[in-house]
Amino acid sequence: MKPVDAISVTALLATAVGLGVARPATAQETPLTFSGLVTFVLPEPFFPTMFRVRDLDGDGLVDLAVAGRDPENRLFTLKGGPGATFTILQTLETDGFTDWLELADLDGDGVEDLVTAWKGDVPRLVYHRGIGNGQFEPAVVLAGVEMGMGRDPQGVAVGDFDGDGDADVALSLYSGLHVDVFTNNGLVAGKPVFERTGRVRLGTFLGGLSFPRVLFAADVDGDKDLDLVVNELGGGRLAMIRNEGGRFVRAVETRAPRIGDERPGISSLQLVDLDGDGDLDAALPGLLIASAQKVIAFLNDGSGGFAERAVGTGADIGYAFAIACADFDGDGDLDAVTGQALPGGLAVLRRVNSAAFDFEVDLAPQFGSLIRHLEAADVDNDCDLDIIGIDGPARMVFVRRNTTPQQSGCGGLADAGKQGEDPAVERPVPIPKGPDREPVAKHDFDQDGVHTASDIAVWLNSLRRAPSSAAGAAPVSSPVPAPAASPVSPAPSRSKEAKP
Amino acid sequence: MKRLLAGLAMTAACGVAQAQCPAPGDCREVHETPGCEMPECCELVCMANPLCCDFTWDEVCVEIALKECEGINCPSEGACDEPHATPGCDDYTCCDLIVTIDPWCTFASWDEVCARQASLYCGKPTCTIAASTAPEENEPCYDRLNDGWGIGTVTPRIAAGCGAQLRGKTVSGGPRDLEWFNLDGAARARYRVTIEAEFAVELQCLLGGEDGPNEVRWLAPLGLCDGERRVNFIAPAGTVSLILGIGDKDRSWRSGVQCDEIDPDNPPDPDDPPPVQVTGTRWLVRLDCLLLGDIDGDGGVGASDLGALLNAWGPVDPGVAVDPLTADADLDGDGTVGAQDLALLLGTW
Repeated sequence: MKPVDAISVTALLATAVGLGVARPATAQETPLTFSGLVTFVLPEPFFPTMFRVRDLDGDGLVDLAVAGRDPENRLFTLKGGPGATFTILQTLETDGFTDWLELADLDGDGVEDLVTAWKGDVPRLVYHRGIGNGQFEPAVVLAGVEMGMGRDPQGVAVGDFDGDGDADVALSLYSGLHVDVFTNNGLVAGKPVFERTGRVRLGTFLGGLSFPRVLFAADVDGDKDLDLVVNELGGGRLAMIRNEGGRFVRAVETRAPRIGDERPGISSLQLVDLDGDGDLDAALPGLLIASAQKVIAFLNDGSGGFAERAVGTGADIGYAFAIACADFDGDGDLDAVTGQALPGGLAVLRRVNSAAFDFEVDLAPQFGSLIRHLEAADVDNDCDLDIIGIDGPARMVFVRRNTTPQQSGCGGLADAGKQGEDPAVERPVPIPKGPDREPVAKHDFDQDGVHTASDIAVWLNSLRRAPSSAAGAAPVSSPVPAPAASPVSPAPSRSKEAKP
Repeated sequence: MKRLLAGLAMTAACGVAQAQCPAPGDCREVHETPGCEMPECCELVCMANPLCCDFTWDEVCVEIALKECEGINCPSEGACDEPHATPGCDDYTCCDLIVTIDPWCTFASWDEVCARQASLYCGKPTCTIAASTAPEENEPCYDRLNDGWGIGTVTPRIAAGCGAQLRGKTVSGGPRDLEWFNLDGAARARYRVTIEAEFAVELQCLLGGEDGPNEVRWLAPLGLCDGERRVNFIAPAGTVSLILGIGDKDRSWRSGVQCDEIDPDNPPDPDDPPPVQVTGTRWLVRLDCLLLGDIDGDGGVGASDLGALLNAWGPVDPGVAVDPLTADADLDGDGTVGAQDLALLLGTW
């Protein structure tokens, strides 16, 4: 089989590990500023869950591939236009909800394919073959229940795990409480053939459920092969699964640090070099009930150990759910933006000192209700990094263009003006005082015996329509496996999403 | 309603039902004979409309079944020991057992985990362990008092000295009950744990404290009612916990083995169904401290241990899961069985 080309692997890794590497700050800090929202609303009843950024059609503008939970069984690619606008490029048919997707060349033809997993009663690993110009073919099933497909796939990671030159796939199984590895065995009749070669159980020592979600493949221990890193919503842990010669056997799990009297829920994950030491650290949103939201860092000791953890300032609005770290002001260190829920919004966090893991909250605009995913990318081609995000319940893709003066001299207001636009520049605003969070359901979703921030993270992740935020409200879609005595689902009218 | 009343009148007049549940025929499809093959569903439907068990399983019965029997998929098409994309499997007894311990198998699909559980547990008799004079763990099965950091709050672990014997109960509920034995030590030490249990044993050795890093050094599925099982293993220096729970290689059980004691602070509602008990809840554990060089765990260090060490000579493959049921000859834990391990072994000859 044709080896994965260097460009696609590089692109994949760039996506997988986030954007940028921290370097020492070089000049006076200025507050981060961003334009007002530029939005695109996806068709009903699609509930976007995450997206990947690419120039799919080769026109030089950023396009998106968007995964989501859709009773009408679709996922979308979006074409980027001038002024950070989007239109639907292609609608792809699915047979189940998709929580994650990746773009990678599975079949070695030099064109990136779209790799995803259908959740639901009959979970499947699938790919849409890329045929160029931003177009993808209908889905081809790579693994189903009969081939060892696990339960409730959420995270997808792609990489050459066994070093044979083609792209393999790993999945985090949210209800299955595993990470599964599928090895690419080459092409048969033009289609890549996959075999499940690894399964790592997570949180086996917990009384509750680990609920692994966001999964990344990257060389975290510096031995030149791809390891797997995943966050566990249940109990708030980060799991590192070391690649041992192409095999994945065991996880090392580290818990988020105690903050005040509580442990944060950690619903998302990004791998970036936060401390500028040349290895990949983990940045996570710190969801808290009793105090302001935080940013959590698990700092890599260079060999894939994440025992050292740090806590950075976050905003005191909503519950932090998503995160993206990037150098928004061009000063050489990584700033952060977190996506909030209930109320929705962003917390734009400027790194105040590259030597320390702490932030100033420059902006905290409130909009939407559940910002599920964020990326930093140069949407308007002005050589600074803008914020792209999605709000699930509002079906909204949004862009906030970076108007911060860049130390490199590019970007900012001047470039925005050149494109004939008049973005509503959002200056630093006073941050709301005191907790401004809507009450949510109190339930032990991860079944560990206590109601904590982890349960809120689990609950938010389970939503697939606008949350009912009243205290004690029943969850829209309970993530908790039903007790044995309660039969759950009818055979004749099978739901597209597995009833947990 | 008219049909229901007529049916009730006829049933009363005849005094007998023509079909007992279960009876041949798919509950979700019309068939000429009364009753249907899914016992619970059949009973639910016939309770709602006795005609369905008296005369024929017609559209009305199917309509009730589709409404009332949501999630009841035992029996269904597909062999129980083979994965398939539909829920349930063709052997009612086996299907009913597996969906009780693993609800996924009845509402989603009969995946390889369901199939493997069927192979492990279906047709296997349950067991009762003999009475023992070993001390009780002093944890009612409705409490979580010795679960280490396995639940949302940190609880003590069971102190486990050499020669300690203990008995107790564990259950699968949420949170599932775990028994954490404290093996913290300043140096590497070899243990032999002897376990007998009435449930499927999932035994694991966990390294690290509450905040982590935590690593499951090994996880041993010891089977259901396989009698007395012995595991001989080395615990490294530091924080080490031996954890006993209900489960197997694929998953921990979270249903099917409920507490049969009444919590005085939270007594059951009289209308609650009785606890589901697929297996018993009781366990008996003995922990022995062995010499580090006692690789075969026979209580002494001798030629057989030397043979085991030489057999394992060379690097330990980090890509292979540790199996505590095989000889662990890496006495110093440096990832290689070599001269230093030989010296350690001879030092305890």
